[in-house]
Amino acid sequence: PGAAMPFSSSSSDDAFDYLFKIILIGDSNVGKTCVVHRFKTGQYNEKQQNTIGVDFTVRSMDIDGKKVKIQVWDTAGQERFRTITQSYYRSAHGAILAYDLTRRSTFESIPHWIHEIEKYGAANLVMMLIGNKSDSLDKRQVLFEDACTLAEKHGLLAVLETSAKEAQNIEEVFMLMAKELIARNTLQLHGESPPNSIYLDSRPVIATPSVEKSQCLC
Amino acid sequence: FQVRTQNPCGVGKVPVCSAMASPAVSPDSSSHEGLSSVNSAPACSPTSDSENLSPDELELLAKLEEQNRLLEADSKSMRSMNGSRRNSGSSLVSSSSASSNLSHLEEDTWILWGRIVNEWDEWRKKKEKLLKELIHKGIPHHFRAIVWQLLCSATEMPVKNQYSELLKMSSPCEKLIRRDIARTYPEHEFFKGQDSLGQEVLFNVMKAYSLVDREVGYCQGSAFIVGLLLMQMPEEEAFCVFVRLMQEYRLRELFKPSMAELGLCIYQFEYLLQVGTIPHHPRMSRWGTCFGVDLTPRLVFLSRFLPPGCGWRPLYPPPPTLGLLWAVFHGRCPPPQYFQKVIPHQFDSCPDKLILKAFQVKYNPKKMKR
Repeated sequence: PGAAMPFSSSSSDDAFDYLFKIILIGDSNVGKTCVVHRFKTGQYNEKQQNTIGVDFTVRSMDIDGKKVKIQVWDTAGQERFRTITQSYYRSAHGAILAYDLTRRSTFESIPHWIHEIEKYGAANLVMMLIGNKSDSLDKRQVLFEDACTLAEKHGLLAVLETSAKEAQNIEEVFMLMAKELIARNTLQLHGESPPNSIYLDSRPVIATPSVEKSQCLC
Repeated sequence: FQVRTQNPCGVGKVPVCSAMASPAVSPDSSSHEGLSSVNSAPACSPTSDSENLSPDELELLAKLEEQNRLLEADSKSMRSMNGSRRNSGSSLVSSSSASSNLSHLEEDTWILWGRIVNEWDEWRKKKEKLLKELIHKGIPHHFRAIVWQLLCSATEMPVKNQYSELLKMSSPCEKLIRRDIARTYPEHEFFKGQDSLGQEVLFNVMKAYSLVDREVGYCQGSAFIVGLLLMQMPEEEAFCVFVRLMQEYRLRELFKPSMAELGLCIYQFEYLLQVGTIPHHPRMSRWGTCFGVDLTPRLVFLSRFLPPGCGWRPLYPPPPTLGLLWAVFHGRCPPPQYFQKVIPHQFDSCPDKLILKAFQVKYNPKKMKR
C-alpha cells in the first residue's frame, strides 16, 4: 500500500551480544517519555503526548566493543495503570525510577515505586533513580543529597539528575545501567557470586567531571 | 431537531443546517490525528442490503460511490472541522464556506444526510442496514456532530443542563487533568497553545465528567476521546456524548481503577496473535499491549462503525483496536510512536482497505471472553 516501513529491521540489526530490558517508571509528567525520546532519537520533543499504557523503544549501544541492545519500556504514570504495567516488571533486567526535581511529590512517590518493583520484579533487578528536569534548577524542590540518601537506603545502583530537554546525563543513565547489567551478567556466567549479592562488588566507576555534581554512585 | 435542507438546488449555498451551533468550517484546515479516518469516504461498492432500497435510494447510493471516488482523488476533501464554540445552543447555523465548488454529488449526499437526520427514528427502525452502510462510508463532516449524538442518543440528556453548574464546582481531579491537557493532541491546531480554546474546553469537559463519575474520576487516555469529540462539536454536546459513551457503551469499564476490562482487551489481542489471525512476528506480542491500551483509536473506530442502535454493548467482544487493524493490514506491527504520527496519515491514503481488512478479521467470540 505504498507505505514506507522505516522501522523494518534488517538481519544485521538483530545481531547483538547483550539484550537488556529496562523499565522506566515514575509519576505522571516527570518526563519519562522525553527521556526515552532523547535517548532514542537525540532530540527533545516539547509536545509529547501522555503515554497510555506501555510504550516500547529499542536502541543499540556499543559498550567496550560489545553490541548491547537496550529495550526501554516506557510506562504510563497514572496510578491505575499500574495493574497493567506491573506485568512488565517481571521480565525486566533493570528499572529506571524517575522523578521531577521541580516537583517534590514525584520524589515522595519513589519509595512506593520501589515497593512495586520489589513486589513484582525479579529479585536481582537493578534499580536506578533519575531526577529529571535539571534544566530548571531555579525551581528545584528536591535536593540531590536527599535523592542519594534515598537511593542508598534502598540499595539502588545510582542517582543521576537529568535533563531530556538539554540532553544532560541521558546517555549516561543508560550507559551506566547497561554496564552494570553486563558486569552482573559476566559474574553470573562465571558463577562467582550468588545473584542477590552481586551488586556489592560490581559498582561501575564513572567519574566524569561534568556530571560529577549530579551523579551519585551508591 | 430542526435540521432542514435549505435551497437544495442552489449552487452558492450549502444546504446544511444543524440544530446545534455547528463549528465554523474552515475548508483549508487539514486533517489531523486519527480524524482523517472519519473524514474520507471509502470507495467500495454496495454489496448487501439492496433489497429494501427504493430506486431513488439506489440511485443516490450510486451517486455516492461516484462522489467517493472523486473525493478520494481530491486531496482537499480531507478536511476536519477543528472548531468548537463555547456558546452552543443557537440553532440553524448554516455554514457558508466550501460552497462554491460544491458538486452535485456532494449536494446529493447532503440532501440524503439531511433527510436521515430529519427522519432519524424512521431510518433507524426501518432502514437500519442502509444507514449502517452509509455510516461505514463516512458521515459528511457537517453532519458528523449531530449524527454521533443521534447514534448514541445523547441529544436530550438531563445532564446537559447541569453542565454549567458542574463547571462552577471544583473537582479533586483538577490537578491531574491540568497536567495532561497540554499533552493531549499537542500538535493539533485546535489544542495548541496554553490559552487555546481547545485546551480550555477540554479541561472543562474532563472536569465536569470527573464530577459526575467519581469512581472513574479522571483517567489518562480519556482526554483523547473527548478531544476527538471536541473537534466536532461544542463542549456541552461533547460532554453529553462522552457521558453516553462512558456509561451506556461501557467505555468507563476501561477506565475504572481496576482496569479489568483493559486487561481483557489485552488478552483478546494476545489471543488473536496466538491463533494467527494476525500474521506472526517475533516481536508482535509485545506490541500487543501497546495496542490494547491505546484507547483513542477505539473512538475513531466507533465514530465510523457504530452500528445504529447497538454500539459496543451487543458487540462482544468490542471491535478490534486500530492497532490491530494496522497490524492485520500490514502483516506486522509498528512501533507505538507510529501510531500517533504515521498511522493517521496513512489513513489519508488508504483507509478503506484497512477498514475492509478489519471487517474480515475472523475470531471465535467464545474464546475472547477469557
